[in-house]
Amino acid sequence: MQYKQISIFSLKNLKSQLLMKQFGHAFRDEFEIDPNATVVNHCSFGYFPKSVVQAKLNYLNKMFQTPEKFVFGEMPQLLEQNRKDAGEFLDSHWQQTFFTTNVTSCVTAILNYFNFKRDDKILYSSLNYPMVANNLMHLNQRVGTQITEIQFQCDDLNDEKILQTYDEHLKEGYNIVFLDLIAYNPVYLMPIKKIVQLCRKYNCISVVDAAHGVGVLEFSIRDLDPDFFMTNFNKWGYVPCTCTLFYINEKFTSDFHSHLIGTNYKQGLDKEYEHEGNQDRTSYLCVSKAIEFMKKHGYKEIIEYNRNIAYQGAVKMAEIWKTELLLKNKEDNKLPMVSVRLPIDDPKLGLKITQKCLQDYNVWINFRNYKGQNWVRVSGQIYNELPDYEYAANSFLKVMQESE
Amino acid sequence: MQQFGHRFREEFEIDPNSTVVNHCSFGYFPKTLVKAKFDYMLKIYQTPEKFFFNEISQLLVQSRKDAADFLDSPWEQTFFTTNVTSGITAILNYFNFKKDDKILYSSLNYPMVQNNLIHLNKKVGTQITQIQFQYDDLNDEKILQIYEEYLKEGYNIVFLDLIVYNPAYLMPIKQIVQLCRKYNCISVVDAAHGVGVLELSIRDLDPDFFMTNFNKWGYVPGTCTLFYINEKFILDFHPHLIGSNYGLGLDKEYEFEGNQDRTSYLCVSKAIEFMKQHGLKEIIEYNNNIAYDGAKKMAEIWNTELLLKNKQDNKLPMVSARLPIDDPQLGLKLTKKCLQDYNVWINFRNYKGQNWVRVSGQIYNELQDYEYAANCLLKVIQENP
Repeated sequence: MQYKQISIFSLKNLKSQLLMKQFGHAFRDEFEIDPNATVVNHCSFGYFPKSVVQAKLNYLNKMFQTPEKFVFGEMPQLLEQNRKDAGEFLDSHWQQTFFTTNVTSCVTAILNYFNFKRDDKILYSSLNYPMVANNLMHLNQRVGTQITEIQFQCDDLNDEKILQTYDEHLKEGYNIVFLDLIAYNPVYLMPIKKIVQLCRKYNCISVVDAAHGVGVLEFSIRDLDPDFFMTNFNKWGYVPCTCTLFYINEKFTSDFHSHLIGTNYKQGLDKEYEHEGNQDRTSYLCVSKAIEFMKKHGYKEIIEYNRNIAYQGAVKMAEIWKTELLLKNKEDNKLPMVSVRLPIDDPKLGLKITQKCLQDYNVWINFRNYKGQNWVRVSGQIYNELPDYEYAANSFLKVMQESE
Repeated sequence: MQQFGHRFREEFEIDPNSTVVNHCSFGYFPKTLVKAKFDYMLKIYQTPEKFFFNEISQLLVQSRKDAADFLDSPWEQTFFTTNVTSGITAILNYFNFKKDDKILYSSLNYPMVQNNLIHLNKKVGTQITQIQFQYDDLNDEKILQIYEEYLKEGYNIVFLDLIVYNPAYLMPIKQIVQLCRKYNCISVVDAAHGVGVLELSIRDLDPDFFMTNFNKWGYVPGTCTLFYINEKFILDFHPHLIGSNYGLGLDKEYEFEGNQDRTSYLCVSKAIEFMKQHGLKEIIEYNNNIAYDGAKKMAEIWNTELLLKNKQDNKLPMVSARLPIDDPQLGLKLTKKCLQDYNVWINFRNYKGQNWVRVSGQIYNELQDYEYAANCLLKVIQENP
């Protein structure tokens, strides 16, 4: 038998070509996506590799078929291993890193812990996710805690202005501030490290909502050094919902509790987060596999591809719609989400049209009305290519015409 | 009735190598229900927006209506939530109890409930009183007498069990709730073990709050707690999590309590169909019988006894049999070894110094399961002197 001689060099070349080639539509096969759908909004709910979905379903099957063996035997070790892998991937101490249901649970646990009273002062902003604002309004209503909302205009969305604004507010003295790593819509990457430094300077507790975080950027929790940090693995991190990583600074771990007081109360935070009441924790067990997926395809490569395709896609949509990007220059767009102005100003009409677009053309265009303007959050992911965005923009125009 | 027993195991997702005498810690589920749940999960993964904007609201409403109909409760006051802990948390949040408020509970309550009250007492100083029930007190007459004595002293709220989880006991809940009304005390009924165990009517019981798990005896895989809230409280009640639907009314708030997997809630209608198809009365009768006969067999093999001496007194598919080991730590070590070596889990709790096994009966069980379980524990005891 004869074997063709292949040099090591050409093998490596081939491998890197294969790696590069795989992103784009050819990669959709690796994901659980309805073949009839066009996806330009990866991150509201997330889309997941088939291998990770399979892993989750396997764990669920185990849970259903041999629950005691699984819960008493394998699960605690698996949970710990996943925490360690996540801690390592995000450069955080695994003993202070826990999995919980969602960011809402973390915000709740934090507010419970501090038990703020009437005279306490909380700072947040108009960029925060509505759930955060709602929790603070509810607290204000129930207890009378003072809450201050910084109003950011679209013009303020640059690092210098943001830092100046936070400095002005923080120096007045606040107990705690709720920050975003990435403002969810309009999309903006906040100068978070510097803001956290301001928090330390002015003795204010920092809570970083990085719901969009893992899978979007390379970052280090140790380096950032916040008091609290939450990121969802089910948005950009390839773990089927739901899975939130919750980092708690060691200053607080000794008497911190989960948002739910369960049967493991007072057995330490490890035990408390191991069982926050009866729920499905199989997603937490898929984190190691998702991290493996990101490393296999190259984390840097994924980030770069996503960022590029999101930008190109958004530019294309703005062209077709004759509108514009929030951030005009490519260098300013550091994320796999890019804000493009919707060609409809009225949010109710915009919602009606985008819902019809979903129904008739199987593509969801996600927008938010911010300070009177409708901004679409265009996402880029490794299964996307430019035609997706062309299709989305054109479908929207068709629905607009058909609705007149 | 003939269909029940080992040949019914085929209908359930159970590891063929396991013997199950503890149905209800985690629950075991019909294959059809597991498939339904997985189908919903895949739909969410593959077409999330379509599913969330178009289908899920109606499916959720339908599940609520079917569940409410099955448990005879007004569906507008009936919601699904993650677990009983979430229900308890929401209730404590709502009342926002202070230092002078008084809460009543008992030594029979599930530890999670006790922990929540202990935590509240620590944080706020709310007075919490725990009724200590001895074994001799476990009869309806004595229980009612005790509750009356306490409730007449005046409490803001009382946390009750429909069914004590271990030792297993069916509480005279309707009469206790009537006492609560008489003495103007808010009643919270933890019926974690509820649906699938008894024929229930929430309207007839008329509590202030009622929670039952569909994932214990109700054949719904995953987690699914039904939460009934008396209309007196609906207007400004909130789930344990404040989410993006805050202020839009309880229907909307419970539709989205933060990002989570709600596919179990969507399987409730199918589970109710399963119970109706096989007959809830028939299921209950089979489960209660096999649990009692099985527990009796285990007590015989172990030379111990049952908590309830007469079969007529047994109204539940869970029967308490005393473990042949008195030390709880040793008991735990040996039952874990039994699970590891013989693939059967014997679930016990130490209550007032005695170890009681909660023996469960379900439509896939037969007497041999309990013989096997009891004998395996004896083997493990011998192998580990």
